[in-house]
Amino acid sequence: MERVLYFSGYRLSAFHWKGGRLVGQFSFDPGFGGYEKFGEYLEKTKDIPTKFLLDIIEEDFKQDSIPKLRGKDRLAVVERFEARLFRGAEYTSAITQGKDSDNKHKEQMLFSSVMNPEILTPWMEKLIHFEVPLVGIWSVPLIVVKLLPHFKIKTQHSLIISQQVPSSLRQSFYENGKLIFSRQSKIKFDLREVHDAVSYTVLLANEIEHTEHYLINHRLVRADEKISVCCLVRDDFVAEIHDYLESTHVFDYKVFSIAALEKKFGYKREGAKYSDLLFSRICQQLPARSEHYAKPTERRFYTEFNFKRILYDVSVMSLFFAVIFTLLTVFDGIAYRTEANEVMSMASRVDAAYETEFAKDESLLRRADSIKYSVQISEAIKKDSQIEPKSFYLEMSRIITRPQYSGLSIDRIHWEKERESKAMVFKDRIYPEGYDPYLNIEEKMDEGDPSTQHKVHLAIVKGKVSLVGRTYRSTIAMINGFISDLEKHPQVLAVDVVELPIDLRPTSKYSDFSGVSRLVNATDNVTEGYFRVRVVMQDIDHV
Amino acid sequence: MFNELNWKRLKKPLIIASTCIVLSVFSIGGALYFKSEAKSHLHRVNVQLEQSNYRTQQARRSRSILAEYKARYDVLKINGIVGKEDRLSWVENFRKVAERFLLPIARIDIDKRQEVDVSQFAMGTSGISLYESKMRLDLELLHEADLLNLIHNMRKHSRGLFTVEQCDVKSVKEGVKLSHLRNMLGACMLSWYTIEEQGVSI
Repeated sequence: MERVLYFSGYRLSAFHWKGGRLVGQFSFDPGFGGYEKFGEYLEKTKDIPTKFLLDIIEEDFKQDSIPKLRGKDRLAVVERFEARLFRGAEYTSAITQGKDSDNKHKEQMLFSSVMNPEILTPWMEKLIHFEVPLVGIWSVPLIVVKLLPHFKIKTQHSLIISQQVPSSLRQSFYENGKLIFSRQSKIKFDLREVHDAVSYTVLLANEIEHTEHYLINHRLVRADEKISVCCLVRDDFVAEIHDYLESTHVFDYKVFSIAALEKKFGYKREGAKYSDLLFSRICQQLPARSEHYAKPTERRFYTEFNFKRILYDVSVMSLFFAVIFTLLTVFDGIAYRTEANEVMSMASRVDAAYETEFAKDESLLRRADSIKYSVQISEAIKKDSQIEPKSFYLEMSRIITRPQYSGLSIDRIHWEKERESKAMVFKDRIYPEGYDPYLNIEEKMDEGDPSTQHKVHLAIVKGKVSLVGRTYRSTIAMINGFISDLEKHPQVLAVDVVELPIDLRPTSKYSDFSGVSRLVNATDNVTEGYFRVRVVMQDIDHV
Repeated sequence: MFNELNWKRLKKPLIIASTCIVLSVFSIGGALYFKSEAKSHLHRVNVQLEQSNYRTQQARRSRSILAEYKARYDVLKINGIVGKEDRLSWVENFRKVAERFLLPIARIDIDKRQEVDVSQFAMGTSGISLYESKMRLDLELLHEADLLNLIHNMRKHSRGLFTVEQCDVKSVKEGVKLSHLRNMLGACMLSWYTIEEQGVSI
């Protein structure tokens, strides 16, 4: 709820607004103990934000230009102008009216002041005493401008005439929508008792004529300039006054129903006779920052009121938000709990099934992988153990016992089991002088993944050949035949010659001597020669 | 603006607002804690369920492994391949076989048992240890077949599993064909394997 206190200079009316509805109206007359009643009234209704609307004769308006400034500088200049224009005035106001038409670096301002603040004092004291949250003090002439858009005025000058109380008539003069001056004429015309539009029209015409003289005398308009005169009258007078007030070359009369204008501002009633409620409604709709006269000390209870309201709003909002958030979060938590209980019961069922089915064999089940790997490893070793020297020895024996190799005998067989990739590295290699295969057979190499490679027989076979009664050619032919037979064997993968009794290979060194002396001395009684071959043989399973 | 405020008069709304905010904070905090606890609890029981399911699956898998391997494993245990090393039986068996083949001299040297890398035999090997004892046999042979027969008989009668890694047979008396050797020296290197499960006393 909001309250607008309309002050006409004598009587004070209180209008209680709730949204667009007028929910209460009170009037206080200072002559009949009104201040005390006002105090009692305020005591009962002190927590209502209150707007104070002035409609008094003692209000002065002056136009001036100030330099274009902003912030604190502008405020300081405005205060200086106010002090100069209205020396010692308690209530002053400054409203911008846009750029100065003569100097674009200046801003045109309308300064106003309450010339007799004493008339406000008793009312304001009551408001302060009862700590009423005063939103601000507005002036009727300054808010009349809100009506101009509804009048659709086409002339440069306009005069708005309204009556708010029986004892005065307000005339506000505008140039291009900017207030130039406003005056209040003392009259005695109670519209609640008079039902005659003619006498009211005469009253209006006389007042307009006085104002015209004032405007011309003060050179505010020229004699030939047209002025739009907008009259706010009671609904039932509109048609008659419109007929009586004939437009002239100076005045273009427009007559408006107060009730119709009130409707445009969101308030509906019939039979409106004065404009006080209309301006009260306009004032109620104005934002707090647009107020004109109130001092910070007078507005402090409104600041407190707002602060309290914010605090209460914060309290309510925080509780509301907390309750909603808490409920939603707790519901989420409950949902999680419910799901957890279901999962727990599932886990319990799974555990129970496990206990029934597997618990008694648990220790054995735990060893399943070890058992599997033990079996796999033992089988791998068994397979590996199948590579034995026996098969190699037998094959070698079969070859050497052939009749064509009667001159050959084997002195030594060094047998090893070796991975094929490692064993085959020796194939076709040239053995350096002095190479001992028994020592070097463990030569290291990059072996790859050992578990994926099968093993082969790797052997160094040392034998000898009888040279008695043999030529070089026949000896070499026999050894070559032996090697050739080895190579042809289906299981043999590679045969490398390490040593020959007569090595005439291009890759070997060779020395010999001959001549007559050799035959005479005959010291070289060599009867047999040695050979060594390296054999790689795969197992019969891989052939 | 705040300088104009009478804080004493604002005491009540300030207390109310502060109380409401504190209550709200506690309420929201409590609700968040409750939700967080419930969520953690759900996570824990989900993990528990996963573990239970996993345990059951593992048990089924283990059971199927056992169905495939247990019988063979039991045979390995009986044959002394899985379990403690039985050196006494090896030595006794060696002596028995050497005497049977009337070998003039038969010497056996057994190295210290050593754990070997099982990956050379199989890829998955967790939970077991493979041990190898290197054995060197030095023999005087009447015939090279004695060596081969000795190895064959050792394999046949010994408890355990071994492989022949290396053999060197050479003639003492030169000029005689291999098939007619009488005096030969033989040396063989054998690897005797045993498998033990880790952390299980068998």
